[in-house]
Amino acid sequence: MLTFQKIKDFCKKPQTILILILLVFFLKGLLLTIILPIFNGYDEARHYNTIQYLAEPREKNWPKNEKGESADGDLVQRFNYSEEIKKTAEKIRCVGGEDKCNLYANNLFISGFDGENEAEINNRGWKQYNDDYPVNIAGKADSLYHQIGEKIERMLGEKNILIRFYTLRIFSVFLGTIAIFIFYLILKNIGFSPKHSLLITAIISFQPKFSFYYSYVNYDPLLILLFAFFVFGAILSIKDGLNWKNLSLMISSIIFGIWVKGTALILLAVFIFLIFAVIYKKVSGKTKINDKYWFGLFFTISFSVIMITFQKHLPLIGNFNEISASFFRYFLKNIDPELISLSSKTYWGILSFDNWISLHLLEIVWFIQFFSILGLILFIFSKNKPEFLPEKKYIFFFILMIVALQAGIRLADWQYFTKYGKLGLQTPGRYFFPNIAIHITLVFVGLGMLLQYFKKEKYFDLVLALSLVSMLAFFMYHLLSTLLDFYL
Amino acid sequence: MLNFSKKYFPLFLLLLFLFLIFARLEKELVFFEDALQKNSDIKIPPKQPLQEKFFSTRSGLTEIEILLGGGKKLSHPEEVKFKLADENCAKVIEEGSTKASFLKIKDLYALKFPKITDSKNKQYCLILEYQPLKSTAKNLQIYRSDEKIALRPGYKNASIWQDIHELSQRISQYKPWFFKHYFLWAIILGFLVLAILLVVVLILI
Repeated sequence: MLTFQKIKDFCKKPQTILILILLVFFLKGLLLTIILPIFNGYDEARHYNTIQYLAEPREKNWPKNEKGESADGDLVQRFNYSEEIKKTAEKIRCVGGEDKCNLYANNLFISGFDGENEAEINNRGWKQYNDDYPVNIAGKADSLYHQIGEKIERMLGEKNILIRFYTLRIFSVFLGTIAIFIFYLILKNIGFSPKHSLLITAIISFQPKFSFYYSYVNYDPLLILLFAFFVFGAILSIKDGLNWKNLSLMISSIIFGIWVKGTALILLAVFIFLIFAVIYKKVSGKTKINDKYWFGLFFTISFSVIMITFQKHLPLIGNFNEISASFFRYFLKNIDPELISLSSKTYWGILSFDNWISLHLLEIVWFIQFFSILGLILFIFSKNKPEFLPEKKYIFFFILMIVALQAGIRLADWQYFTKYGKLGLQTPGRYFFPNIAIHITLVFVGLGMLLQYFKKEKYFDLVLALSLVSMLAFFMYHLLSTLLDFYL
Repeated sequence: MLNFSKKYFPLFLLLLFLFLIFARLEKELVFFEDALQKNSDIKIPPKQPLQEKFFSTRSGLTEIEILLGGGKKLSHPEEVKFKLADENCAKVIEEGSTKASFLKIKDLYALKFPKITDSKNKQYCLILEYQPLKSTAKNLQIYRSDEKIALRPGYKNASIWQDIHELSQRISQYKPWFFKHYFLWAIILGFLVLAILLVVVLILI
């Protein structure tokens, strides 16, 4: 018989709560998918056009219009996209100037559940292929994400653009749901209790910008998922040693990751480092040779292999003086408070409200992170690890991932600067999302260590609970802001 | 005591945040039908009223949005007083002070007043007067569109449910059939109920 106690026990099971987290993330993703207008995401129209371009018939027997490539920052309607994309953007009165629909025009809405121009959009009277050349493509046209998108686009070929486009967004939400599941496995395997793992997973799942990002048509949702798979494989290797399962998980994440986007190259660097680290751990102390020589050898070999592998991706033009002068110029350009805070602002999200919380939210986050860094320093140098926190080896690996992604992004930014003589990428926060689970975990490790140091470890649960409530509220405020922006 | 506060303080905070968010949503649920446009501006000196007539197309007139300030945020928007009068600019119906827009848009200001239920198809007269606290204050810049003050009326429906219904209609437009109307409601309610349940369960276990 179903008793209250049985229901209570069922609700307390980690599996039940994990399913609830995944379900909430999926529903939240669907909700954002609906609320955010078509082509509102970063390069969303461009990614969708790339998918349409791949889905075109192989024999392109239609006349082509040779046009100049549209300038960055232009309206969606003016890019070299398919007629269907441009006309749809026009019919929903897309307003904005950054190749995305920043706003609907305010007089768009009518009474009823169907828009004034919706029937025309659904009628499929426009060309679904590109005839304006050169076609505006997002990143690598043959990216794994675009190829999967092409299959979905072809499968729904006879449906209208709204169905096809929003199905691709649902696919992103699905990828995000898997990523959240992997985040939980990572947290559990590094030594957090099931309860703490669930709490931190839920906190990550409510991060507003991350949630928004997983509702767009873009290759990054797949990239973030592959990063999660790699980290999972890596921590299993650190935990259990290298075996075919962990190796294949890491290697396939790297291969598929690079197939999705070049950013995944940094996984290769981490992988090389990790392999040498595992080998070093095996041989050190087991031979007559002093450990520091082994360590020197390990570091030199892994560093050399990484440098040789990535030589062509580094902005190493000219001699040492020229490289250092270029780096110095790049560094000086980056000493700009606006630019420094940009990454953080776009990572956490800026609330568009004119009140105290919105104006100072980022400062609160920085304040918390400052104490967390102090805690992390304590954690690294302390001899005794709190029982409720993961072992140091995982934390070192997480820090390595943070450094690697930071270095990779900064190097790409510097390379752009060297090539074009100006800052172009501007390192927005979304570039750092592949490490979101690691970042948030490190924040709580730091806070946990600080609590332990002041003998207040019993408050760790409370800190996690308050963080969860705050993150949900933060997300809800973002949702409110989006509703006001687009629909009122 | 610690166990009590560990569990119930976060729950109390959750309730408080949710209340604040939904209260704000209810407050800001005002429907505008026109876009605000500006193509010129005028400057009005202190204590010289400026009149502008406008037409209300719906019942429930409750707010007017205007563009002020010439790109700089007004440090004291409450110094701009307004009166809402009948079409002859004779009988004052409502009056008050200007408020900065809840959204962080520099030029946008709101004139808020209690809902006028029978405002449909009526002409109104807006009287603006700049009453600065300092006698040395400069003129106030007001944006115009086609020789009229750049303003747009905002409306509320008869009930909050009608407001939510209209919001759901707007969200449903230009979406595939599986994201419209009842599907939209199911997703919104499903998310809200399960998200709150998740947080409560995670705090209480």
